[in-house]
Amino acid sequence: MAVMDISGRSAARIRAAVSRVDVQELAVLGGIVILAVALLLGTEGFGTSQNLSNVLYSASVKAIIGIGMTLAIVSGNIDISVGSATGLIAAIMAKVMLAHDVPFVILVLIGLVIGALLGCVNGFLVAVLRINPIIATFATLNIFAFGKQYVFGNDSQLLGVPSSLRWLGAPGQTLGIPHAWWIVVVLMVVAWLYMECRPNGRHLYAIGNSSDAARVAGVRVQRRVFGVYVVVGLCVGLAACCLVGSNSVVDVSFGSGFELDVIAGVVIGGTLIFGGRGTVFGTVLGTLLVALVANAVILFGLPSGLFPLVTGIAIIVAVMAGVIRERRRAAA
Amino acid sequence: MNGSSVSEGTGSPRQSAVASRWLPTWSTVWGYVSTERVVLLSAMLVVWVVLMRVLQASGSLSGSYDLSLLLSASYLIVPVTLLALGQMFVLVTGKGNIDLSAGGMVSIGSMVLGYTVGQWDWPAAIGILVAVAACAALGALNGLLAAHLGIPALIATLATSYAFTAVAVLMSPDNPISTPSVTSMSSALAKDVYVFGPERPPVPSLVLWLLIPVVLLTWVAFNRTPFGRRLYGVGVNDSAARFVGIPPKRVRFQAFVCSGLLAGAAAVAMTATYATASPTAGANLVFPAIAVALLGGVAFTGGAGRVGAVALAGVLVVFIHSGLLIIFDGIFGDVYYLLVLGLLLIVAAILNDVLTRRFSGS
Repeated sequence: MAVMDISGRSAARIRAAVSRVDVQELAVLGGIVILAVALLLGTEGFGTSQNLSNVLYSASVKAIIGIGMTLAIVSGNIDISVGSATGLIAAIMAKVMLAHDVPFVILVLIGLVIGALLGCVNGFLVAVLRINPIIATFATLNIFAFGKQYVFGNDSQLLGVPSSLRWLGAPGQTLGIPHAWWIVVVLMVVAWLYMECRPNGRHLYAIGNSSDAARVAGVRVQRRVFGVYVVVGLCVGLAACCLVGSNSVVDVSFGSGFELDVIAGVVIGGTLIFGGRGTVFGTVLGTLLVALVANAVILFGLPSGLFPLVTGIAIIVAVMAGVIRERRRAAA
Repeated sequence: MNGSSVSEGTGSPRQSAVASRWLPTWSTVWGYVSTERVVLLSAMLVVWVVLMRVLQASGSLSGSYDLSLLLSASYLIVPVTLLALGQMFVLVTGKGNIDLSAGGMVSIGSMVLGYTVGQWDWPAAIGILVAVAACAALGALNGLLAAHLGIPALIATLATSYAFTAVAVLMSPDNPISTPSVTSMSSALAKDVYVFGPERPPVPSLVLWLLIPVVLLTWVAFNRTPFGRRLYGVGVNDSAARFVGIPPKRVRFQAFVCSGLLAGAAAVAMTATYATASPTAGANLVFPAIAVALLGGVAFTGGAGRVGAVALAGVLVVFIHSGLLIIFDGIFGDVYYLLVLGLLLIVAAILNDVLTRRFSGS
């Protein structure tokens, strides 16, 4: 993966992919622009650089996970344990940081390693034991929640967490844009190239369309699926690093409900919920739209309880759009 | 599909005829225990109770694990088992159907009770009817999305779960409703009944007038009505069901409505038990409900599952929970409950999967 082979056939693939830019992605882009303009004209606080970087930061934490989730959903799987996995990793990292003075690089490595381990658990259950991904990740959602509660013990907050991960958190910015967002852009390009140009990446689409057909064609389906869950875990680890970096308080509610926002971003970005279709580019746009909606709820002074309602409706509308387009495609 | 067919041909030819006739082989025992879910669950229940008694004898419990504790904890069985039966209706129809929004429905149902009975002082019976009807309507919404519009049930009910919870919280922006009329309804519905005589420990009345009748009704619905056979039929084979004139979409829709009805019953139970209409009444109920349903042998792939086993699994899970609460101090009982439920869910999923593969004829 270190060196991308972008020549000949791969270049042709990239051109073909660019020419296939999706209607839904354009619609989401349009939605983002319209909402942003409405917020800019309708409220006072939106245009400030503070608010914009906050929106970008909160979008990027979920977009990092969403990029991994896109791989999972495209391959016909799903991971609903990402929220409590985020909370568990954040809790462990906060404990480590409170106990020892650990340098930045080691901390990020710890986050990634724990994330990969949690991903291995999911991958083992789904790919090796062949448990249905919904049931398996629903079980690990609660097992990881147990782990998080266990780490927190009787506390509901860990206070005075050192700021070693500041560079990744909300305050860490270059050119007024949070570093987390730069990471999203890099991850998005890498994941996009992988899914469009590498055989292993193309296999994910094949598995999502029909895992039996993919297996017959020689794809090592279970190995790919295991890998996808490890990638989701790595993304979750990175997102947890960003969360811990932005605050000196790590709360027991960290990460809870993330799965809704992440899945919302993925399906709003045009990824077909049945698998086989979707891009990380759409996911990042979708996540940005979700973050803007959350910001709008706050700026317009609406009750914050409204946000999950809006997100839930948005998911249903987006999935419905995907289902209808797929029916049309099948009929054509 | 019984124990003897499992063990066929596995016995050693050198075994004496007498021994093989009178002593069951290990594979016979395992075949029986793994296929008869009621037997497995009863065995687990016995093992758990014995384990708890041993722990109690060694003095490592913070309370005593006896009949009075189990009977007083049995009010917890009511909402969990009601919701698990709701999940069973949905899971049995197959096609990846699941209802993650049951907790959200319970919260809304509880708030409806809070407004009708608590705020507007309607008679309790009418308030209960309205709450159950509201939950059935929400179940119909799920059914519309999942069965008729073709959205995968996981996504549809995940979305509605957050939406319902949001609505319940928005309905009560300040605090739970616990007016005198709610309290008096609660004391009428949930009280201790001395079934075994005045000296023996009491049984919560919710178990008697709500749980047992509902379990019996559900059993009748699944086993003695055409509707129940249709649910199994659609879950076993969608196309075959269509060819014999069963409309799969309509049956799945009805299954989601049933899940809503049972969520309404659970909302009544939660409100009566805690004498409070709370917007978070259903917050932590979905996971135990799904774990209980799968533990009771309901296959996620559809078409399999029995009411009696699900009810027994509800008892087992609550008895495990009340044991964990006296093994571990403070919040750790509830924390370990999550771990145990997660592990039980995984084991149940694997077991159901193995059995489905073995008996699906492949």
